[in-house]
Amino acid sequence: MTMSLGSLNERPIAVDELSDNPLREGLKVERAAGPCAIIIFGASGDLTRRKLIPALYRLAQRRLLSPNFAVLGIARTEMSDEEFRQRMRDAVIENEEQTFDERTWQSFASGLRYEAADLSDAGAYTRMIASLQRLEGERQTEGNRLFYLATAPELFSTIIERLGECGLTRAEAGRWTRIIIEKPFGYDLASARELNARIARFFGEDQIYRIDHYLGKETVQNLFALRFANSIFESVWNRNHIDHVQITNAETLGVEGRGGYYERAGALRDMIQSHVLQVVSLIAMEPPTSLSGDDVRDEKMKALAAVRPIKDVKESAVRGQYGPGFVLGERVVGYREEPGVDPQSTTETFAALKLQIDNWRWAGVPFYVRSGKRLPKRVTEVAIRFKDVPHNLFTANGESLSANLLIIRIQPNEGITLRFNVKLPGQAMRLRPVNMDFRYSASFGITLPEAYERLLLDCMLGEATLFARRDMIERSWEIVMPVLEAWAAEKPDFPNYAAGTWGPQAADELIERDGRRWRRL
Amino acid sequence: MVLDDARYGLWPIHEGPGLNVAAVENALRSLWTEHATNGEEALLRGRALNLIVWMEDEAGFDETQAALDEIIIAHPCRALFLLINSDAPSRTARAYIAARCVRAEARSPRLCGEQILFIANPDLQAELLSAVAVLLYSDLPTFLWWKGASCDDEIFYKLCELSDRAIVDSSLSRKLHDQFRSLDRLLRDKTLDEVVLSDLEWARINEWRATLAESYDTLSGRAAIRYARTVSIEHTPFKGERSSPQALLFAGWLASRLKWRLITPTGPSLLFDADDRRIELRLRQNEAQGIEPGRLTAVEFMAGAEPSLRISLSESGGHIETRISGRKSNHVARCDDRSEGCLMRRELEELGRDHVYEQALSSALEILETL
Repeated sequence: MTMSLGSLNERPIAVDELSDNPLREGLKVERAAGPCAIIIFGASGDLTRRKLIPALYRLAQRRLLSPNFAVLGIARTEMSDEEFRQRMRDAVIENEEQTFDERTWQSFASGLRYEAADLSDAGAYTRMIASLQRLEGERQTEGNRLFYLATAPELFSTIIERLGECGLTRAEAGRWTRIIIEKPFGYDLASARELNARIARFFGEDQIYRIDHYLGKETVQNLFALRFANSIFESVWNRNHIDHVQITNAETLGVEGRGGYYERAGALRDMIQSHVLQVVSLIAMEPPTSLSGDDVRDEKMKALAAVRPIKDVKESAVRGQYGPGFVLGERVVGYREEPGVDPQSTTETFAALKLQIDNWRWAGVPFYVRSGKRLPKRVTEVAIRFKDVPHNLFTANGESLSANLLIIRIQPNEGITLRFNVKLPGQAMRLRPVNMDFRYSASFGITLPEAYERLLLDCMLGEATLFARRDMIERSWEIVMPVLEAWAAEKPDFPNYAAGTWGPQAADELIERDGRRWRRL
Repeated sequence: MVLDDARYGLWPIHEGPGLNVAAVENALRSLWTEHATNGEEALLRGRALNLIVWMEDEAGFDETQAALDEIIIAHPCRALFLLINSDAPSRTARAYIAARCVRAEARSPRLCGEQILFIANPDLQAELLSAVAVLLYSDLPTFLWWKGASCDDEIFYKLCELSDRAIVDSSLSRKLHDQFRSLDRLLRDKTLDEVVLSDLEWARINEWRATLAESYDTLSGRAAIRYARTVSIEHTPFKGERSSPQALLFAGWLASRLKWRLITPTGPSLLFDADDRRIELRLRQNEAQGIEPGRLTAVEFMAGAEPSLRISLSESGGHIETRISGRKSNHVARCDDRSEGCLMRRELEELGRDHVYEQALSSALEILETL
């Protein structure tokens, strides 16, 4: 595609010349996306309404979207373009009550279209192509396309195959076509491999963006800064100084009406296989040679590859399911009483693992990870517990020294805390641990951007660092498969923890066997 | 100046000869104890940077106070306000301190910074400098917000030396040519430690630059810019000058980014040499009422008689609209918040040199000298 002004005999400008823009140099706005069309499958769903469109609107508000930008929403629900826009407008206002700007919305909404379609019907794709081409012509999106699979996972393969059959998966020269796939990426290792293989028939790996919204969180990205922009941390980031690592992902919520989905997932698949192992890889990885996509992902992959296979599941893994109890001062029902949940369900709502990483940096340093629903408080954090001092000088008053801790709080109250010992004022040499705190809210006071905003923009820019690669997904499944298989073979004695407690007794035993304890949160 | 210290929540520390820095330091030490004792709610005390604010006129004090509150939301800091008051008795000054606490959102805790205000006779400038040196937090980034009318000033240079970055405001300049020349000279002066400079007038055209850069990302927009023969930059009148800081910096930015070389002035317009063509640049005044002086109102790129690309301020002044010939672009961008507080918040995020600004300033000065 080329273009020139009709009245001039000028050399036409080719699409591939557009990458260089001297006017963008030094602009105090982040890099903005170029023209493109986003095709959202599952556009009538909750994800589109609550996350995707508000994130795109915020990008438009921050001038990070091209004026030549379009969204084609596709879902089974019958709806006109106008109804779709109205729904999305309501959703954006719900999210952005204070900063909503009608004119920015009108400008943004002029690029929104909707097409009702049964995604399993091949004919629907022919109609979709016609709508897409019309929209692309109107909005001059220059042939760049981003497909977003926000549907139930059962539809992923069908949609990808239909796109492939219609020739929509390959981009013409100078343009790009990408696809974002939401988790869960497979149900187990075999299905993840199968899904990867199906996608690979139609899309190259550089076109595939497997989204894990955890990686878009500011505090997760700050792990890079903490580790690789500060020499004091990286120099002690190893087995010589670190005793163990604890990663906790605790939710006070139950399944919140998603019982049907959760019954097939469980805590190990839903949280640990994806989010938690991604965080493990960020903590454990070696410094990459650059922050570019594959340099970072290569190092993360090496860390995952070094995770020792779990052989003795009883020693290294614990599962739990909550019964009735009290959370945040309210009585709540047990998991088996939740809507959409089998009254005899064996799905775990809590999982804890002890992981070992077999490499020079981490040999002998266990990573204890836990994730659960209906726990006493909502907190996601990484705690690095340093080794005790080699010799305690402060024994006169029967003092036992607290170990140094570095706590990276991912949510809420995002920040970093360092715990160390100080002397209490007075004659006697008495010690107390104190915390040195960094809080995003205290140092910057601003609201942190939503993960989807960052990830959608990165995908449009072709920046894959914060997305999971095929080998990483498959390796994560390999790590949890022995546990899933062992658990499937044995009927659990559920429920085994009351809502509002820190999980089953066995989770405490998992870490106490090693002479350690979970942090009191 | 008769300062209503109760209105601003300022705590008077000193009034009389000299500055009495020791009293200020003592009061700062007890400031937070007082707050801890009397406070009815939790406060977060933040300390991310030092901000020196130089003012030569009390007229803008209210706005600058409001700006400080907005700054603290994103950059909790120690702010040292130095207000020069020629009416003050010779060799005297007043000093105040305050804890400035703001809430980013209704439910968030109050985040606090500190403010120190000296109101001093101009003959205490040397003492002010020494007071600033003592009162800055060590090892934190230090910014100078220079609200003076001229940058060709010894104390400006001295304060620059104490700062990592100086932010001036050319809209306050008495004479635009003198302002640009002194800034350009300062940037080139090898005898000074490296000075990092920015200008709020440059920050005010950020949204215009972003909008044009967005157009340059599209085929039609790029064609319109690349093949333009005439470029017209419209602005509201500015202090009787032929052009305004915003218009000149925008023109300088275009010329330096697109590698246009100034040939000679021709009457009211300017001629540039691009690789394959000549471009006429017109700086035009728009007499529209109700728009702040010197603000950009439109930029047009013309290959023939009609504009092939026009970026203009909406009637309400709240949005920038883009029109590309043949097709009316639907693109509308909301203007950024133009308050000083918001502009400064963004300026305080930067620490390094802004080479694009420096090149734009140099080109703008070249254009100004031919007008």
